[in-house]
Amino acid sequence: MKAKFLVVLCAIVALIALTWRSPIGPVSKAFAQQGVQPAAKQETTGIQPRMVSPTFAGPPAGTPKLPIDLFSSKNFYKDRALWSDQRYFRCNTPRQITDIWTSHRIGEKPPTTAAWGDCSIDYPRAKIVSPYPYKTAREHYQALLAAAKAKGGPTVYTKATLPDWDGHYARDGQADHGGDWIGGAVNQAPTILSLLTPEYQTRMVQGNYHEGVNNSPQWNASFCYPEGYMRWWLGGGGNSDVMVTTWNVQFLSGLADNFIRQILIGKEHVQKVPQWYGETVGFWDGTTLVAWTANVQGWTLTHSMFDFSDKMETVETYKPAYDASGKYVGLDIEGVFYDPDAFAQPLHATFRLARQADDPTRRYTYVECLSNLKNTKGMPTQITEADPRYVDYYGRPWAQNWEKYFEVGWDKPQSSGVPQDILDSLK
Amino acid sequence: MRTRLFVPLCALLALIALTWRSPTAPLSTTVFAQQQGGQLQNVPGQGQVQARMISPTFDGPPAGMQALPLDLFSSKNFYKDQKLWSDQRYFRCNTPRQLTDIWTAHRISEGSPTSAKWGDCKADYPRAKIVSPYPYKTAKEHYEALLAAAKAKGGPTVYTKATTPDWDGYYTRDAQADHGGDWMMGTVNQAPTILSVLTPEYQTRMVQQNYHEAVNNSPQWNASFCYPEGFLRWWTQASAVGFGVMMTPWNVQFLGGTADNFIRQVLIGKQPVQKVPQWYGETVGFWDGTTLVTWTSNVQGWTLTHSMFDFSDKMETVETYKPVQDANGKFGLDHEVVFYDPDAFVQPLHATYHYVRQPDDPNRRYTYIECLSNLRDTNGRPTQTTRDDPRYVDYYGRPWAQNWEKYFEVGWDKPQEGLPQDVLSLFK
Repeated sequence: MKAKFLVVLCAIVALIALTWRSPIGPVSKAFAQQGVQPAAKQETTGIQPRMVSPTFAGPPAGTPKLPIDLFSSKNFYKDRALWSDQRYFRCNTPRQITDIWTSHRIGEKPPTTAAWGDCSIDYPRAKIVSPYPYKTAREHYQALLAAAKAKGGPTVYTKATLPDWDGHYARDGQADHGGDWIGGAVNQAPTILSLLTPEYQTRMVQGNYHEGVNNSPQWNASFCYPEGYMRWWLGGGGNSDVMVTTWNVQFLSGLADNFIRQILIGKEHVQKVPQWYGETVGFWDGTTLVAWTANVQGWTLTHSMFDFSDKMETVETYKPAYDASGKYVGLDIEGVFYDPDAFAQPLHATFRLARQADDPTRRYTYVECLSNLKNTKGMPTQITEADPRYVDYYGRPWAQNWEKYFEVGWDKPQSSGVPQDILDSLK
Repeated sequence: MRTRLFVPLCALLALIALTWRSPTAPLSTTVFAQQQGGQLQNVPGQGQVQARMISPTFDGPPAGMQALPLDLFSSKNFYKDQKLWSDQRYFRCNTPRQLTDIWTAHRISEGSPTSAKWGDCKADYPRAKIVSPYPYKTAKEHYEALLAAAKAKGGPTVYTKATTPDWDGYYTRDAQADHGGDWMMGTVNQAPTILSVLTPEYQTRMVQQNYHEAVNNSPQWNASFCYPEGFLRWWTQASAVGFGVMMTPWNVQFLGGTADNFIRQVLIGKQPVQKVPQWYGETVGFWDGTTLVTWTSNVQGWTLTHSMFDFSDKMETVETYKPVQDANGKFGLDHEVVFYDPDAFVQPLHATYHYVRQPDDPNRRYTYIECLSNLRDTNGRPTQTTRDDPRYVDYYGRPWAQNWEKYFEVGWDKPQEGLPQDVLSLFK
């Protein structure tokens, strides 16, 4: 009796575990939004296309709304069974959810008046997951290394023979869209959720809810928290300066923080603690640079996308791209993301960095984050001098502190430069 | 009548202007040897403190030297004591670094600033070695002179990828080989000697620092609060602990840092073009044979902290880096820097350093720094905050989620972690 009970129990547990592992299956069938009138306003002035959201007042014709969705829910945790249905998010992409307030798509009676996105758009999950058979970054990297060795490599360059990659690069959004999904702008939310483990699905929906419903975006750079490794793959690695030496290939870029990624040629991972941008080693296989990043500090992508853990590792290839005439135009970059804590399986992105024409006036601007945005009652708020947390960064804040607490009532010298007794003698 | 009054008045004005320009004249020449009367103190708790912080410490001035009736530590308003700033006794012969460290080095008692110990009144570094030995008045003039000299020899030298000097690697400062930059650390000078190189406004700012760090125990090292380190810190700690050099024909990069990342890039053959001040300035340069000559301008004004001086956004530097090989064949760089800041300095200043390239170490990595501080000023003093303080940030605990959970998820039912409840219930 006990044995039979145990067998049945094990079967139940196995069944639950199988469904629990990925409660969000691939995105449900898209409903064409025909016959539905678009909502009145769209933000178009000066905003990048990703923020100009196809906006609809409701779901496509013939598609019923869910009785409860993100914007009517009082507790998204209880709605787990609905997370796999794009209607739960009103067909908004993660980026649309982040921007729903700033793009005025939340409506007159938020949050229940939140607009719908386009239920017909999505980027295939099959293109986001890794096409490779490798289970870990180590396995992947070592396979590539073995392949290089089989051809007599890795390639060893001297100063004279180094590939000529130095220069300034910008992401070519037209040449390759294989990494757009990281921006959260081309997918239905459930498609992204389907890539994540349960805990990380919960974290992502938490972000969706509090950004989309509570209007509490927590972009780390607002508060001068680190940007984190994955942001390089989003946009941080966009405008990059590349320097190539025999021992180190460096990518330097930044938006709200400085991204410094150095690929140390011929080295092994040695760092004992997670690093904000990981520790990257690599080798040359002919003109292809192969890199492996490990020891990454877990963080979040923000913008209604996902967290990642400190098990995050990537295997990357950088291949020179040429135009039809054979002229070097840039780098085709592929990244495979391994994070067994966060991802249901390895993920995959590609993009092109196009080298820009030499510009003698182009400079890298070193970024120092100086923010007066603080959370006030849970929402990021631009504070002013009236707030005790305000920092007048360019007004010698160290001196302001001293003058406020230790120099009250003091006589201080005139700032005119002429001594007071001289000024007095002229009266 | 008016004319007669005007002439002596002008003379008086001229006289005052002359003295006002440098109210802190070069350090007084009478040095009182701290023999006999002043006992060298064993300061408790300093066993493991680095040499720079092990301060020669005395209870009082040297025999034969009188303490001032009023000094930094007994003053209730340092602004009123300007006439005394040029006297080392005003600072009890403490160096700027000693002033910064006077509390952490236990050389002062809580609640009793007048208990502050004395430094060594004999110790100083000549002002003549701090000021620039060159005749140039501006960085531009200096740089252009060096460029002209290079051109006269057929330069500047143009390197290719293949011929770029082999300087790549990691370097540390060799403090034994060259002491010409030690003064920047504030450890080898009497405070008035440093003050004497500053303009009046910047003297005031420095004494303000001295006072509030040493008397009020309110050090405001920018990195404590994740404020920028600022350009001049490169010449104190940032380059001392080591930095990496990457060489290309178009860009020579220096990357280092202690509390922040210092990235200095020398753009070869370029001109300064940036329109707004930059935290580490904008650096251009050229090669004169194997010497790298650089000019940094467009610097964001800031402060050196640690009881040293502020600098303005007129700060510019001209630097040279020369390769050297020591007697043991170790490769290094001799670095000379001339600082130009007409708002802050009465004349250009000068420092020299020697850096030694370290043997290749396959385990050496540059650690990218993210400043995550929970130090906040509380009632004017930097304080380590804890979770009880609303300003505390649990950086590694998903602070964005903690914010949401605190303000928007109060009282919510949340899922169990691990197995679903209905499975757990089977086992009851």
